[in-house]
Amino acid sequence: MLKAYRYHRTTVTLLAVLVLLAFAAGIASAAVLRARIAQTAQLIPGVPDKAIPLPPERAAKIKLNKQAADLVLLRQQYVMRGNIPFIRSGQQEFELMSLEQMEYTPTPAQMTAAVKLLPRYQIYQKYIMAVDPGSLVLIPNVVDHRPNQTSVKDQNNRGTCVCFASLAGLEAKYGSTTLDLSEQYANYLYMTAEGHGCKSAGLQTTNSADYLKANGVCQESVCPYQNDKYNFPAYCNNGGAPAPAMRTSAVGHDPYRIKSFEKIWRDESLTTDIGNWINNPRYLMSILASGQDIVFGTHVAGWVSPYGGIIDVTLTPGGDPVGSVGGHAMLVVGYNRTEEYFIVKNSWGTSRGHAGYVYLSFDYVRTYSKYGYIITEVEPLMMTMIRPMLQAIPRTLPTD
Amino acid sequence: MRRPFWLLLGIALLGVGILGILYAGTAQVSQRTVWIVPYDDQGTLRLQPGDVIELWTEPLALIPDNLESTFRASKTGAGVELVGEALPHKEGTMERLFFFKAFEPGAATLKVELVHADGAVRNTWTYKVEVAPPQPED
Repeated sequence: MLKAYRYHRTTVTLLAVLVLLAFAAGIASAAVLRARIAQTAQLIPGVPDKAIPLPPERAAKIKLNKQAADLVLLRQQYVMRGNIPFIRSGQQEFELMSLEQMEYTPTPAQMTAAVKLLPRYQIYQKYIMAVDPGSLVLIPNVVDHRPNQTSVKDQNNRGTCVCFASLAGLEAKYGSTTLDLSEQYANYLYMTAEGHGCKSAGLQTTNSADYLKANGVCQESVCPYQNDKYNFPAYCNNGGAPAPAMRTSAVGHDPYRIKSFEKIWRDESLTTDIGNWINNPRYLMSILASGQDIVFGTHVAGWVSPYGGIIDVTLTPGGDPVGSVGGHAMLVVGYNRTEEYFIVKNSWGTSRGHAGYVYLSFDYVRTYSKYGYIITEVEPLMMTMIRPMLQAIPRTLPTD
Repeated sequence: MRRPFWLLLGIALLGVGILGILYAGTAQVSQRTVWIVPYDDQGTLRLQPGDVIELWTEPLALIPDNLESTFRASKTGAGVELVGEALPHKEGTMERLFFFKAFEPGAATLKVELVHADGAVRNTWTYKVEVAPPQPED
């Protein structure tokens, strides 16, 4: 054995070094991963301390939080399902950081700023003070599409705001103030696509653009709205689907659909009004000034009935925006740049807000907006009428 | 003739090294089981230490009548702790997600309440949880 070793000493030594290097690399990579998880976990305050050693300069400013490491793993599961969870601690809300976001080592102040879901009101205040008024001269002071809208509706006790917001956008895009599309049927389409049967379980606003492109909707007269969410006898007695007769009737009258759209997302890192983002009021103003409306998903936070005046960001005693109670969808139809608010069509009836519209301050949109979309083109009605007839024409001649 | 033997031995050692990398890389981040629990779940949840419960509240509609209400979660007993709360990415509801983590063997009752701004409890949901001792690893 010793003789053989001496004979192959170089080869064996080389292999041994390789094996040692491989072990060392494995242990090092695991240590880096664990350090990143620990670092991420430290960013979420509010949970009792656990012993994770911190560099002294950071230990003074950031509370330790070992349990949150598990939430990082949870986040990964959410991301795989298309969602990013928000963690709430007291009056504050935070978005869980991904490991990728922690590739660099930010300062404590940067980390604190980075993990917050809601933009810092104070940061925007600084920006507002510094903005050059000359850069906004091409945008009119006031844009108001309310005269072009259909009437304000009432979703009553159901969580169907996305249906009302998306169809309000579709009705306006068809250029009619009298067209009345069926939210009942839209809810059936959306909930079926989301796997919720005929419930009113809510959905991400931007998904409705995809569903309205894939399927048309009918008019209200064909499939009327049911105020009580538990009362679907005419529409949901067939395993969650509309009754066959009603469905056939609706399908024969559902030519209203989106042909193309553009989604607008949020940039959490935005600290100035730059870029095509939903939390950039300047971008939204440019869209509205071009004649478009915006189907809009937002957090609801600090709203006080009857929702008159201008709904602004409410701050906690600690100086942070108050937490969200949930998501709501509406249609942005105008703005007032002088008074810094957007005009937004709601679906809570005409007795609330300004005859059914709410005014959201620019800061509110910067802070709480989530995402939205513009309907850039709708399917021409003639084409949708003709298409079924074209499809019904036999493609081959019958043989004798 | 001895060279292939040493070559095979070297490959085997290299294989062991690679396995070492894989083991070291995965062992540091232990896997967690996440139980997604709908609000109307009635069964007893049986967990292992380290498991996480993701408890979804009722999809309460986001409408004016409900804006004054909030969900809150608590637990009695031992074995699990409330570690976080989240909002799902959707519009139309005031749904919340509560995260409980099992830390040690024990039994607990989780409670989710829908509370009005005046403090009145509008609705309550309870869930029974049992955390078993950790299973010995193979």
